[in-house]
Amino acid sequence: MVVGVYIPGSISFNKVQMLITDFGAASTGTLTIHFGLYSLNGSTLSLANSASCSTNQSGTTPLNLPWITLATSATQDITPGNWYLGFWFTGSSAFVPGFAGLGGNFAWTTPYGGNLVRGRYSTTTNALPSSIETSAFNKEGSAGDANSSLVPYILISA
Amino acid sequence: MGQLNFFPNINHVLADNKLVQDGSLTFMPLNIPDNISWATVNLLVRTSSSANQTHTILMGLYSLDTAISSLILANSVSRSMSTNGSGRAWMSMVDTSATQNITPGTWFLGIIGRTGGTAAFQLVGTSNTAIGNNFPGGFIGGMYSVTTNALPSDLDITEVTTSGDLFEGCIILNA
Repeated sequence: MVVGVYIPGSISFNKVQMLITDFGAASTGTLTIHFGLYSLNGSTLSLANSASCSTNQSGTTPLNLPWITLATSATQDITPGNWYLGFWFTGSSAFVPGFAGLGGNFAWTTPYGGNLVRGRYSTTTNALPSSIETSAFNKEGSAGDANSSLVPYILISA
Repeated sequence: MGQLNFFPNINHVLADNKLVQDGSLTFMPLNIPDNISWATVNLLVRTSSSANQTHTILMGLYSLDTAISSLILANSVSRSMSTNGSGRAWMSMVDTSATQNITPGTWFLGIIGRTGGTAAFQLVGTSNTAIGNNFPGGFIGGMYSVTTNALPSDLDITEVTTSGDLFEGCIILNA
């Protein structure tokens, strides 16, 4: 999933904190949260930076709305303007995590027009793509992908 | 200053659904942080009936001339949609009246809703209802005091009611 944002001023990108929903009552194993910072060049999203965090879960006690800290692969000064934030999980099928954020599972009937602003990648992946065509994303309301309208809560810190 | 590819005004907490009254004109503020082309305007709407219905949105981009306390029409776009389903939809409008590069600053969107077939047509955003007095600060939007079928080319802000229902819609501007 990617969400387009406007960054109003320069900020050093060192860590990103994300709010994760309940991991599930009986989740065990390793869960990895992935984050990618993408810029748009023409019709291609290019990976500018990335961050990830792996957490080991065992037992039956779920975590309720924890903040997870992801460390970036390199410190970067993000310049003002439009950027795209990519989010997804990899891990055991025993997990049922989600991102806490704005929006929800509305009954969408029609996608927005114009350039990609937010949407869901059309294929599954186990690694952050270094470049992605914007045409490879399904906008919210597109056929077969009606509920991709969530804007995750994140904090980017220097 | 740079040039934006898009400007999303969509991160509303607990979005409301504002019922569109036929011929109503609503003004909402939009703080544009950087230059962006007025090319594709997406407005989030909601229909809640399975009956056949046709609705039209006329949207004007207005600047506020504080010297004469008037909203001045800079550009416009419109679209009709027909549906017989329920749900949220992005109403995408591309036939702008003129090519324009929107400069950074505060602008106002004037939105006229023309409903047909059923009254179950709503704008999605944030709505503050039943405010008891006019907003005491500078102009921030509101409802035009009369119903209309066309976007006024200029409008004295005293004709816009700033009490009652202040609405901020979910909008995506796309270059």
